[in-house]
Amino acid sequence: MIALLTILVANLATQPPQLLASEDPEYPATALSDRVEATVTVRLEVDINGVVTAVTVVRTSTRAEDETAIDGWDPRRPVDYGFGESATRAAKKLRFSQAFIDGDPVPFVLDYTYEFLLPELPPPVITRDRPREQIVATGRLRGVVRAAGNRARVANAYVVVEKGDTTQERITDAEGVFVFEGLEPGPWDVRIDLLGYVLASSREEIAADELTSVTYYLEPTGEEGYDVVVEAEPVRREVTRRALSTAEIVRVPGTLGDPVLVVENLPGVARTGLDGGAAVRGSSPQDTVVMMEGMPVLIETHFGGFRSVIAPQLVERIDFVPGNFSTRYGRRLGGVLDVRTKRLAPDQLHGALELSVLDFGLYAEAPITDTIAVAVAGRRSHIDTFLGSVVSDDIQLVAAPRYYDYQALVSWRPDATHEFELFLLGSDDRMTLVFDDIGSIDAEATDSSLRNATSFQRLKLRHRFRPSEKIDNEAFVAIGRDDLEVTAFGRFAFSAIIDNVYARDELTLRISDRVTLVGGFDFHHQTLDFDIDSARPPKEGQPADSFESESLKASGDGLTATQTGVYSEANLEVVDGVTLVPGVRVDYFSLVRQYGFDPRIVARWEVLPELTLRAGVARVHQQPELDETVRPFGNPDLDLQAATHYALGAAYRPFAFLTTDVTLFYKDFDDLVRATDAISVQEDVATPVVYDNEGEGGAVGVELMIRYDRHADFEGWLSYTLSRSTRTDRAGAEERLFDYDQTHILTFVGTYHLGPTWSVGARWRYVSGRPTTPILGGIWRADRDAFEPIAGPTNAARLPAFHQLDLRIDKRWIFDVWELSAYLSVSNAYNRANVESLGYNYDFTKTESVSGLPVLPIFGVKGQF
Amino acid sequence: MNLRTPIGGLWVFVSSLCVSCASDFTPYNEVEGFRLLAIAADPPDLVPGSHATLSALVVDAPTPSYRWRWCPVTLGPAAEHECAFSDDELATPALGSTATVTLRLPEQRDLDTLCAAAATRPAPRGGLRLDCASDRPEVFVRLEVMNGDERIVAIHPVPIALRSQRNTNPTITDVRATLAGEPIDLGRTKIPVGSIDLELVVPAESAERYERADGAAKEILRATWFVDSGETETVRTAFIPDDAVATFDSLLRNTWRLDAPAPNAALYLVLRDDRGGVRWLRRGHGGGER
Repeated sequence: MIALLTILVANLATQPPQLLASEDPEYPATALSDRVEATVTVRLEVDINGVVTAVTVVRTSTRAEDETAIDGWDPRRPVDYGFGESATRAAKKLRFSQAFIDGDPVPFVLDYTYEFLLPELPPPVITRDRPREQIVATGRLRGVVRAAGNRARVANAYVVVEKGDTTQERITDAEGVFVFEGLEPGPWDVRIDLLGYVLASSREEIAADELTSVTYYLEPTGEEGYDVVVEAEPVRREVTRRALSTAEIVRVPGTLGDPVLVVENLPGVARTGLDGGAAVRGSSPQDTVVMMEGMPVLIETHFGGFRSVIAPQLVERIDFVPGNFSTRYGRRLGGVLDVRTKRLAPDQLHGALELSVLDFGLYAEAPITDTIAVAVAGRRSHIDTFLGSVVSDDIQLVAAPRYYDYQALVSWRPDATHEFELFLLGSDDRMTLVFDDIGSIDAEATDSSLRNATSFQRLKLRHRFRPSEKIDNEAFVAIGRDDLEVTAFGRFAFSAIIDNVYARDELTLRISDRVTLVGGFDFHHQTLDFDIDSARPPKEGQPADSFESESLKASGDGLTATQTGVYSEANLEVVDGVTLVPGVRVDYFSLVRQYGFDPRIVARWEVLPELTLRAGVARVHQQPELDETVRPFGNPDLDLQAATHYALGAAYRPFAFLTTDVTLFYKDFDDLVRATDAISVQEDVATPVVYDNEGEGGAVGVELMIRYDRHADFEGWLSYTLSRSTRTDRAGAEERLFDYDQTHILTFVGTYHLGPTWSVGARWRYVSGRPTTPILGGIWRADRDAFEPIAGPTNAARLPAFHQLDLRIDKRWIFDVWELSAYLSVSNAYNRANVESLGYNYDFTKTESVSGLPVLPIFGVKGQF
Repeated sequence: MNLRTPIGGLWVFVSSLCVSCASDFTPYNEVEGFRLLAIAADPPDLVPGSHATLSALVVDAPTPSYRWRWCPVTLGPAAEHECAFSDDELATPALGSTATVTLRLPEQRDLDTLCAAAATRPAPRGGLRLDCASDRPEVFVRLEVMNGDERIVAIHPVPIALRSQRNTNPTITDVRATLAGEPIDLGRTKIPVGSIDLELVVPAESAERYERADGAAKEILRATWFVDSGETETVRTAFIPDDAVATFDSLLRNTWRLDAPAPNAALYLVLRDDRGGVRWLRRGHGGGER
């Protein structure tokens, strides 16, 4: 008897359930005596704890060993024999591990198949008087069914062998294996069928008394061997959390798989253009934390947006919370973007080699033992090998732009309760340019070179302990170094080395079906050596090119800063369908020697199975930037900045593949750091205050997300944000627009699958132009031999709207043991000259538009096995 | 601590330098009309109680008018660097309205009082401040030049040698020109069409050695090659000590291209050091230096 599991997994089910306990069903006695076999598929409804709550028989098929021996046997109306009842009784005793979506346990529905196979009859007794030639010798056929391309073993495939009128059927087991015995020698036709794969057929020559072994490769008809069923909204701790799987990220045209650029397509995220980063719900890009596996990293993309610093094969998904985040997160006024690595579970060695016009990458993963698995990845650019031919004669490439990154992931799951993971991540970007005509470029240059060297490393050890369904503890400790050196023409220089230590522990207690408690702490300690030699840089609300004239210097050796937070929250289902998540987070910021007290609450009401309402309020704090707190650049007496997030949303899911999500949000900023002209006089010493905490602001808007999961060969989403973000630089001052205020942000992303190996995708964006401060003219600085701009009212004008179409075509060639894929990505397909900023002549009396990138095709190929 | 800001700051800084680069705008050094090309103080820096002569290189202005003032704290570019002190607070803030004026620095005692007042006077972003605690305090000369309806406002910091070594203006001996290897006289009425190789004659000692807080240093020199006809290969050349590219020889050389006859073509060379020293030289028959 074989029990077969057919799990229908959501494409977002980031951790599918595992079968923990089962019992064989009882073989109906009558069926046994009549020599009848059966296949019974039951549909299970499983709660978030992995307990089966309902069982429905989906189909039953019976087959008699000898139909003629059974009275009244009608293959069109087979007798049930009680197979369905037996399967139902057994199915109710099944126990599964929890399934998780976006890190939260979810109820799920799956189909489970019982295969009732008759025990082998004892071999016939051969009597001596029986002629030897009457003994019919037979052969056996043993097959292994694998997925073409990645060689994964395919369970639950339906295998039929035929020879004349003789037919036998089998279902492949969990290892993808089937065995037929008693096959008459000669040619047999073999057919293998499974949803999600192309029907395979073959003819095998069976020899008497021999075992014929064959490996069959099924060609997938879709991206992955997963089907989609998500029956319920996952329990979540935020009002809004967007999750994108790796498959979605990779396919979005125009992003080259970059997680941050993908985030720009989600509601609430303003376009930052050449500035990089994500401006979330009226917050500056630096107010949104970007993490890899829970660790903040120095950069998430090479050279500001070319490529992610982590191999896409290692990324399971990105989690993006635009506001009202759980108490798990803190210390940021904007959003949270967390790039999550996958849970390693390779069945065998897999690898990939990817080559594009930008770089090449390698990836490999393999099981080391039954409990240990390893994955390694690396990427290096090769643009430095040909870039020399395209730069100007006036520029010498001493060290052309070059980047590389590397990752290693080791997981060890010694038993069901413990899980260890070691994750190594590193990245290095370098570039040195020397300008022949430095005098013309910068009238104050003291060096003709421009250098950028950015590198970081992280090493993280994580442990998860789940002694029971009710207790779940996850802890990690990580160390890492950031090494940064940027210099430009001897006038702008910043170098820093930061040693980081991170730690987090979070305990989840499931008190009952209605009560879950979460508590934890996190810790981030930094030791910093730095040197700054620069004019004071512009801040939000100040024209981007308005560095102050006076060059300042600051340095620190062994400066330390610690941010420590403790948090707790409860997930309470107060009545059926209504969940409250109250929580509080307290952080200590040693840089400003202050505490941040952040109470938060989220409420969810499942009005209907397909309709959920949500609301939340959250208080958040963030410390000032380093340069804002260091003399002479800033003010060491600055306080924490704060914001209160309000959100109200609704999610409507009329079909399994279609979700509509609307969120109203409001953010109230206070104690924002802003520039001031004030002078502080203490003990007859006058000091410019430079910055204080008198800034205020707000952001209000509505976000719409219509998401169409893959269905009828199409998938994609439409997002729209209508918003207004403002700042008030001092009490009583006139409100002005925030630097990244964009009234309308509309994005459409769609992919159509033309067949199992072809897909075409498009992304179209329309974004209101960014606010800009008009330049009214120039003052001639005789010492600089240059004009300096006279700025008009802050952000009183707006750049033209941005719109752009990006296209992508993907093609796969699937071979038995490997797969080749290629893509052509075309950014800005209709070559729109989008205005990224305004350029001025030398005395600021004439202006012209500075456009972004023109149409840009990028081609890449990838081989994987 | 977030290091994303300095990374972004690099690109912001680089883009801030890119005024008129890769565009169709007229290059900075091509003079198409009324311009103020340089302001010089002689000597270039002051000590308490001393004075300097201020002059301006103005072109294409038949009858320009001048308004010279000085100030210890300015209100920044948005206020056109008007003074944060009222006229009553300063002795003789107005320096005159002629092409050449004299700036006299107060005596030490009055300067101390001025420094104390400047330290507590609020100045908006971009404002300039006399900071007597710094290594190189400066006062600020503001010049308005009017040419009919046209007006140019300029600001020129004048260093005060309180603790630093005195400076002198750099020297330009001559500028030599050759066309296809043959010397030509830029003083002729008609400058020939073609690519003229220019060589500035500057004594090497124009880049003075001096002491500063972090040790011995040598001045950076920068030459701006203004032309009122044709174009030059580069707007500005520079000598940056210890820099492999901006050598002293590279400071001296440029090419002037004239595609059409320009009977009144003129070349204005302005040489600056990085301590406030300025010298200029005019060649050709351009439109009326004042």
